[in-house]
Amino acid sequence: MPQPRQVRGTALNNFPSAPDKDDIDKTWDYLKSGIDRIHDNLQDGMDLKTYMGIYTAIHNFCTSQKAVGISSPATISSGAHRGAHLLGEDIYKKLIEYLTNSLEEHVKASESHQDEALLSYYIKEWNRYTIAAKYVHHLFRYLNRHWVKREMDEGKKHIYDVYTLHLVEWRAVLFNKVHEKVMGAVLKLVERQRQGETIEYSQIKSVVESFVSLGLDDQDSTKTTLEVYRYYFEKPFLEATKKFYTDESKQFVAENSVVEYMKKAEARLNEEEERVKMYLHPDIAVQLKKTCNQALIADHSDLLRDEFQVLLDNDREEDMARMYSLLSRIPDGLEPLRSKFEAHVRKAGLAAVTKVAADAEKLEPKVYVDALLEIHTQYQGLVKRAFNDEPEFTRSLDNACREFVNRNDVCKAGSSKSPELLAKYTDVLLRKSGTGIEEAELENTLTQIMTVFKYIEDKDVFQKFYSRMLARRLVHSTSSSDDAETSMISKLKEACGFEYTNKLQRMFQDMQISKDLNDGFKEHTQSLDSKVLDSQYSILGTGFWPLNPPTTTFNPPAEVAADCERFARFYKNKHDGRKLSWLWQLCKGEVKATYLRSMKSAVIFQVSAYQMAILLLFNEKDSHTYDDIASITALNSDALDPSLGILLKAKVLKSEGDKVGPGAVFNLNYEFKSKKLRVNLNVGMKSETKQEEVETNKTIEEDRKLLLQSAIVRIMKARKQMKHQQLVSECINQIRARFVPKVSDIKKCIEILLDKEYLERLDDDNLGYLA
Amino acid sequence: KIRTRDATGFFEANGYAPPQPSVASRGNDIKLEQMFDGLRDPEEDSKDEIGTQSVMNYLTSLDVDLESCEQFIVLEIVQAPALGIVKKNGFVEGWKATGVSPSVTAQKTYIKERKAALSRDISYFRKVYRAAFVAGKEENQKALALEVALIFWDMLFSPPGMVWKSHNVNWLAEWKNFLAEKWTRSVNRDMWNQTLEFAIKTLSDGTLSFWSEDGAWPGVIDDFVAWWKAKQEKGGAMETD
Repeated sequence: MPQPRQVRGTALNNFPSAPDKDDIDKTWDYLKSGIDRIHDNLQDGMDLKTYMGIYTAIHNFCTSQKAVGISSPATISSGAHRGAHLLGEDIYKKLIEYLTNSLEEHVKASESHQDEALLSYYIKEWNRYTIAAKYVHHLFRYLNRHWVKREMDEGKKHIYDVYTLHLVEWRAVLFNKVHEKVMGAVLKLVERQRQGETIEYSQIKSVVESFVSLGLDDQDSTKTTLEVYRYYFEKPFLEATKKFYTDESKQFVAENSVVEYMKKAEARLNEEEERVKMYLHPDIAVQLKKTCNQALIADHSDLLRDEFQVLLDNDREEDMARMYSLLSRIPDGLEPLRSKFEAHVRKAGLAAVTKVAADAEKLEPKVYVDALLEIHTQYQGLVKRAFNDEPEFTRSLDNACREFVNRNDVCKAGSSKSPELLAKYTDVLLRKSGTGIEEAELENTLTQIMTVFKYIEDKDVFQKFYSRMLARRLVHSTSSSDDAETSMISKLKEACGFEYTNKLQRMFQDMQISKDLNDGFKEHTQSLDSKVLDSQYSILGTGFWPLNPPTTTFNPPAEVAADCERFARFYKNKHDGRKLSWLWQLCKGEVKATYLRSMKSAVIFQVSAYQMAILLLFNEKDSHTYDDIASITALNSDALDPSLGILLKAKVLKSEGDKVGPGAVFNLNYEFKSKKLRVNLNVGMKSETKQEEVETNKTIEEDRKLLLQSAIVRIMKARKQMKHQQLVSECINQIRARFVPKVSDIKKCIEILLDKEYLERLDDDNLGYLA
Repeated sequence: KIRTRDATGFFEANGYAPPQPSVASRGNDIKLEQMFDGLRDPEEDSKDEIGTQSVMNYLTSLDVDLESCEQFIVLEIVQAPALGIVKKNGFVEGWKATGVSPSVTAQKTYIKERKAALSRDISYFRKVYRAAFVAGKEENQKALALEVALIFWDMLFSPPGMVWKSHNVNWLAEWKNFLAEKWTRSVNRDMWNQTLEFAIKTLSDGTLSFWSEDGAWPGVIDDFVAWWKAKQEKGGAMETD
């Protein structure tokens, strides 16, 4: 409570002396002159003597027992301290009467003011009144402490301490008559500000404070509630806001583009947020935002959404970001955008693929993967920059990518084309090549490969092709870097789990073990006296390598056979019980040609094992018939003919009319010429790889059937009994990480298992597991 | 997994428990054994098994119409492992379980009564139907040859069997049309069993509304439904013309 100022001067010296303590009228007259002075001339101050006089008069009156005046009959019947009680009531009532009269005069005075002048008047009077109230409250401390307190303790309604009583009276007398006009003035001012004028907003701030102060808690008068403020200020404010923005936006939209409108709306929303900070009560923030969102966004959301496609088509990132931020403010505002976005990305992806797929047969894996990646990168960027990296938009992006990666012009025949091309591109990257891609860039590109991989549905197809090509890289040592290989495998492992890369890792290990084994073998052969070949062996575990035994019989050349035998003995010594079988079709070697007349130095031929066997025959004599070669090497024509073909084509051998086949005679060409000292004759044949592809695809179908059956058995073994439909969906769940199984395929596998009596049919679509 | 071909195996394969040895007198067993021995052709048949000719003679003696499914009633009782084979063990145990007195006359009466039950007792019909599969397939095969299955269906789905025909659809004919058009493989046990379950359903709901794509029906039934619906659509279009 403020303390009355000790004032200078003599203005208060003529204050009347203390009244008769028993007479309410006289006492009130005495008090009134003091209150008047506080209310009307507070700036003049009050000296301690007057202050004490008034305080004492109240004290005396309240404690006097023989009160005269308006006391009720209750006085007589009640005891001593009840008397004090009632005497307090008299003063309290007088005070109410005084305040009512005074406020009514102010209402009258206010009528001559309008708009800003009215606001000034209201605020001026409010400030004066509330300050006075504090002083009066203080003066009436005795009444507050005793009579008011007791009344309130006894649960009397509508009894307030003196300060609160001032507020209650203000609200009842003045506020009820002027609030509408005051609010009208406030709203006019705000509207002028919304239209760009500068206003004296501190007035509004004061009005808000006044309205908030008038919210009295009936339960506890020391607290305020926001009810009065909410009802008399917020409500009209929000209504006016709604009307203003509804009208304004309607007109703006009619005259401007959507893009312009969004800028306007964004600015307006920011303005309103500022407004709250500047002079409104924070309580309005949520409601105001809601009102603005409705009028500025929700009411025009269809219009905005219709524009989205245009923005997408024209790559208007900034405008899309704005649209996103606007629509994210309203409930369910973004959903239609997401579905449009998804459809758009899918279309863009499909178009990109169609563009490169003109000649699907000759499609370069890199070109294809780059086309997929470009679309993904573009729209991932958009999601990041314009859509706040929102998970839902990311999901839409993922859905779209999954669609165009697995079902597009290149995948017409089946979704397995995508993983095949992706695996091939990975092979190109990991193979030794002249492109000399930097280590860091390679790692980057591998990461991008994984981006596409994530969307691939037929992950098993990728695995198949990848392992075949990895096998080739390892066997022919054409891998560009062990680090890159390991990095790729660990990426795949991270994406699909240990099982997915198990065999790939084993292949890697086999190569490592083989290296050590060869070192051991070298040492071993050096201790022998005989002349040995400079040979190298790879021991490849049968279950892990996607390699097939040779399709032809073969008699290796004696020198090679001897070395192989030596190695086999060495190996058997180390790992007894293991069986070695030779994959001759993968073997290669180098032979030195010292017989060439036209070359100054010897030429080295890089040849396959089959070619080697053929060439070494010419150490015996210069001419061999086809049939001789066939019978000595034991090669069938499928293996022999292409091997001879290349030797002829390179002109290492000659035959009549370059013919290959029964009856042909081959002669060693002493006139062979070459610019290079190393000549690679071990060149793969196109048809071979083509055939390999077909074969890979065929094994995929078989593997899938087995995978499905083992999944079904696994599930049924755990559950013993299950509804058919449940089994199907459980099966899809388990398999999905590898490929997306068709229901009809699952059914077929169930039927196979029924037939094999692993499962049985029970009642009501149930299936049972037969152990 | 190869199941033993004794009677127990037969019963298990058909989904019900083997009959318990009855407390009936040992006398009946002896009479049944004697009856079996009487059926045996000493020239042709081995000690515990009678062959095609003897089986035919036996069936004829019971007034069984060999052109109808009546014979499956008997084959079911005696647990015939193949069409032309009845084993002594199956004959004795099978008849013993029925409680019928061991005479041709009594057996004849019993067969007549069972014949009448075929069309009104679905679960009994199912037993007989399933017994036909066991009897009909080659001993070393797991499935029934398609031509045999077609003949059996003809027999089982006509009187005295369960007629697979509703007032407006001759389902058996449609089923056979479909198979002729689309099916070349043999009929495994599941297909055989499920064909009956499907047939039962069609008789109470000719619109096939019980069928659903997600249902547990074998693929061949799914294909039949698709084939049938496509045919209906085509037919419907022609009618509106």
